[in-house]
Parts: sequence; structure tokens; C-alpha cells
Amino acid sequence: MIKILVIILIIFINITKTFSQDIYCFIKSKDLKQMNDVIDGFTSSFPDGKKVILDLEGEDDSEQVNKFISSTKPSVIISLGALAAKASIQFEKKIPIIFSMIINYKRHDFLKQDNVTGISMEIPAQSLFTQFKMLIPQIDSIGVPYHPITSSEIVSDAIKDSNKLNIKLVEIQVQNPNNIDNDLSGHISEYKGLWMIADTKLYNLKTKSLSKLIFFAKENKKPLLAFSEAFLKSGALFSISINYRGIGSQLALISRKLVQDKTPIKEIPISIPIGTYTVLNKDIAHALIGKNIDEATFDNVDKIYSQESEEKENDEL
Amino acid sequence: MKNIGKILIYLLLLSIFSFKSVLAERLFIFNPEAKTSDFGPIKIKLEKLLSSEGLTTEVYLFANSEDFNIAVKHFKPDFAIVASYYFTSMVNTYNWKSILAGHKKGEKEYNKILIALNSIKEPLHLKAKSLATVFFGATSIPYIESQLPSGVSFGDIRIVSVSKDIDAIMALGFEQVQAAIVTKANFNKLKQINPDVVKNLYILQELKATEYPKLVMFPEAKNINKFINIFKKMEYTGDIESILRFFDITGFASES
Repeated sequence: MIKILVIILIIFINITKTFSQDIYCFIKSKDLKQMNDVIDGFTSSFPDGKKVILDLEGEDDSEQVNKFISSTKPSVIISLGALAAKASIQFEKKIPIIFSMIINYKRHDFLKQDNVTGISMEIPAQSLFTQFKMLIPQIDSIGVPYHPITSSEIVSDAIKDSNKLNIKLVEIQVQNPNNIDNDLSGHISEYKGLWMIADTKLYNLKTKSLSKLIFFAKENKKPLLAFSEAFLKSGALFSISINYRGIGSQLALISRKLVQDKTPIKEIPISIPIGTYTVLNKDIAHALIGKNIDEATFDNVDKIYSQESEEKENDEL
Repeated sequence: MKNIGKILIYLLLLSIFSFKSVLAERLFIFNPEAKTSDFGPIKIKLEKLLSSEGLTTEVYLFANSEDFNIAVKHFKPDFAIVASYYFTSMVNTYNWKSILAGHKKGEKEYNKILIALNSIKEPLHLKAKSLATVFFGATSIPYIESQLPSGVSFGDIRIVSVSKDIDAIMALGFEQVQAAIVTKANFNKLKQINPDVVKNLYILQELKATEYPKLVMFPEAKNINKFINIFKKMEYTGDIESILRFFDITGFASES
């Protein structure tokens, strides 16, 4: 009799498990457009995935996270931003957690936990240089100004990647950000293009290095790859940044591996971001390459910026 | 009395609007392969172009086929620009006649390929695997379905969405996904630029050629020749360039 009851109980538990829908719990640090784009990307790639979303509104509120996770009982937790990741990792030690939207994740020791994996925010240098070469096939040397304290590791990793594309990466160490133009001039014959990395010691509100770099690139006709679209208006040739919807799509893929394939989280390493968002400054492209630029060049970018057409559109509005 | 005046003005405006709507041509656009979901500028530019050629036209862009179909029933458009595979599936439903075909530098169709890691030996091995391709959500599903090899349906694979081919190839090269659908031209280009990243990839299958979008007319359409002339003489410059770029073409030509 007891045996029969146990069997019935096991069957009942299995039936309940089969019919209960897995919940994917998003915890976002703030209500930012980029984070909402990530969630949209997730939904678009995995429309059947049932989501619940908690917005921490910039508050470090682990109690709220605790309550939310306890009440929603998710199969996977997806934390967007360092604040959300910290709050969820502190509280949850069993449910798989996927972090994303954390710049330079290696700096954060709290991410090292058995139930945690994630997607980094650093686009591999190989992707950047490949796109550089797609736009300007003859590019064979790129100068990279950087501050040795903040960016030595990034630059030495990038050198390995550049070798794979037969591109010589020219290191330009900048100790004093306001003298960046002198440092750039010192190596001018060694490189054909420039790469602006997100170096916080070089480019911040206290220094003039940003405007000096862009001015130098324009004056000396050096195509400049920037890390944000914001630098195109002032004269960068193109920018490559993260495609947030792509991050969402990757999160959906990892979530499905965890839940549907039952892949143990330990077997899912931290991924590199797949999608990029590339914007090309058409005016600069024409100035550097000439009006006879191959139109196919424009097929491999997401957006084309042109001051002329922007002004025209503003006038029409 | 005041209210009666207001009602009369309202009726007058309504009749002017309706009269204008009756006179205007209606052009519907359904192009799931568009690289943008920001339809506003394309609508404005197309309406401006057609108006400058003496055709008052209301242009409507649709993000999915359901909305397109509902709108066709209610608003009776005169012309449409639609993806070629959508034209094939709906040509009899709407009694469409294709009047112009989009082309890219003279080519009326493009070829995509299915590339994969060496470990994927045949298309059926793609089931439950990840595939990177240009994808814009529900709008893109019919298009992806039309591109997949036989025996594999959209539900069988896990799409990782990217906005351009190069990202899909790099994702495959970095082994973040197991397969990708891209144009052959872009795959060959990347092979030359970065042979290292594609060394473990191969063409699993050449997919059937797809025609570029078509300009079609509904049976009740008028001003057909005028429409044909305007679209035929479109040149890849200025505002027109961005319109053509939206369809990923460089011009329209007669159906041969």
C-alpha cells in the first residue's frame, strides 16, 4: 500500500514538473534603455520564455531581490548590471545566475561563484580589427593610444589578435593625457589608422585628450575607430559598440541550454558578446577614401551617419 | 448655434480629408529584410518623392504580415512593395501583378549560404543547435523559414540574432554558435580578411536564391505607368539612396 502511494506521489510530482512553466527572472540595476533592449532581444529570440522582471531602480536592495526570487521561484536568474548581479549572487547560491551588462567583469570577485556564468561586455579586438579591414582593406597598421595603468592588459591581448589579421598594432603609451597629440605625432609614420579604446584615465572630463585625438585623426587623415557613436559627429570614421538586442538573444540561448538541455552551469563558460553595433561616418569616409567608395562597404554597418543628411532632416522637422 | 457651427466645420474638414484620401494613391510596404524598424523617415521620403512627381500618395509600412493583411482588407491599397517570397505566397490571394523588380547592381536575386562548424556534418544535425543570422523577431520568421534547408524548421533551431553577416560569421568562428546563414559574398570577403576565424567553418549548404523585393499592383490600381516611371528612374543618391537602401537594392527594373 505504501509502495503504491509512493509511486502515485512520484507520478504526481513529475506531472506537476512537466506542466509548470519555467520562469526566467530578470533583475535589472536600473531602468535603462540598453537594459530594456537586452530584454527585448531575449523575448524576440525566445518568445515562449516566461519572464518576470525586477527593477532595482539603482538601489542596493538585496532584501527586495530575496523576496522576489522566493516568490517567483525562477529556473534562471538573469542579472543586468553590477548592482543586480551583486544583489542576486549574494542571496542565491543554487539557482543558475547569468550576469550581463558589467564592464570589465574580471575586476569583480563576487562573480566567481559555482552557480554563475555570464556574457562579457568587451568586444574581442579580433572583431574590431576585422571590421576595420572590411571598411578599409588596405589597413595594415593601427595606432592605439592608452594609459599604461588602465589599459596595458587590453592592448597586449589585442596585439595577439591583430597578428592574426596581419595588422601591426602600434602601442602609443600616453602618460599625460593632455599631451596625447605629441605622443601620436611621435609615431605618425608607423600607423595608418587609430583605435580609441575606452580608457578612463585618458578620456574623461578633466582631460583634453578626446578632442585632441579626434582633431589629430582628422588633420592627418587617419581613420579613427571609436568605441561609441557619440564620437562620430566630431570626426571619428566609425564606431563599434555592443548590440544590446544581441546580448538578449545570447542570454536566451544560454537560458535554454540551462533549462531545456539541462546543461550544468559549470559547463557554460563566460561568453564574449556576439552582436556589434557599427556606425559609419559617411562624410569622413568620403574625405578619406573619396567619393568613389565601394557601396558594398556600407552593407556591413548598422547605421550611416552623415552631418549633411542630419541637418537636412532637422530642417524638415 | 455655436455648436452647429463647430459641427459644420468638423464635417467640412472630414469631407476634405476623405476627398483627399480618395484621390491619393496608397502604397503599402512589407519588407521583413529591412535593416531597420524605424519606418518614419522612409515613409516621409517616399511620400515626398512621389508628391514631387505629381502623385499624392499615402505610404504605409508594416512590421508583420498580419497587420499588412488586415490593412489591405480595410484600406484597399493600389500598390505594394513586398519581399519576393511574400509575393509568391500571396500573388493569387491579392491578384497581384509584379510591375517592377528590385535589383542590386543589376542582380535580381541574392544567394545565401548555410555555414557551420566542421562538427556539423549535415543540415539535420542542426536540430536543437544554435544558428546566428540577421533576425528582427517575429517579422523575420517567415523569411528565416524560407531560407532553412528542407527537414529543418524554425522551431527546430535556436536563433541567435545579429544585425549583420559579419557578426554571424565571427560568432561562428568563435564557436559561440554552431551555424550561421549569411551571404556568400560576405563569407568570401571575411575569408580573405581574416582566414584564421573561418578556418574551422565550411559551407554546409547553398540556399536557394532569393529575389529582391518587388513593386506590385493591385487590380484596381490607376496611374500605373506613372508609378512605374518614378520607380524605374530612381537613382542611388541622396534621399533616394536611403529609400533603396531600406530595400537593400540599388534600383528597380522591369520584370524580365
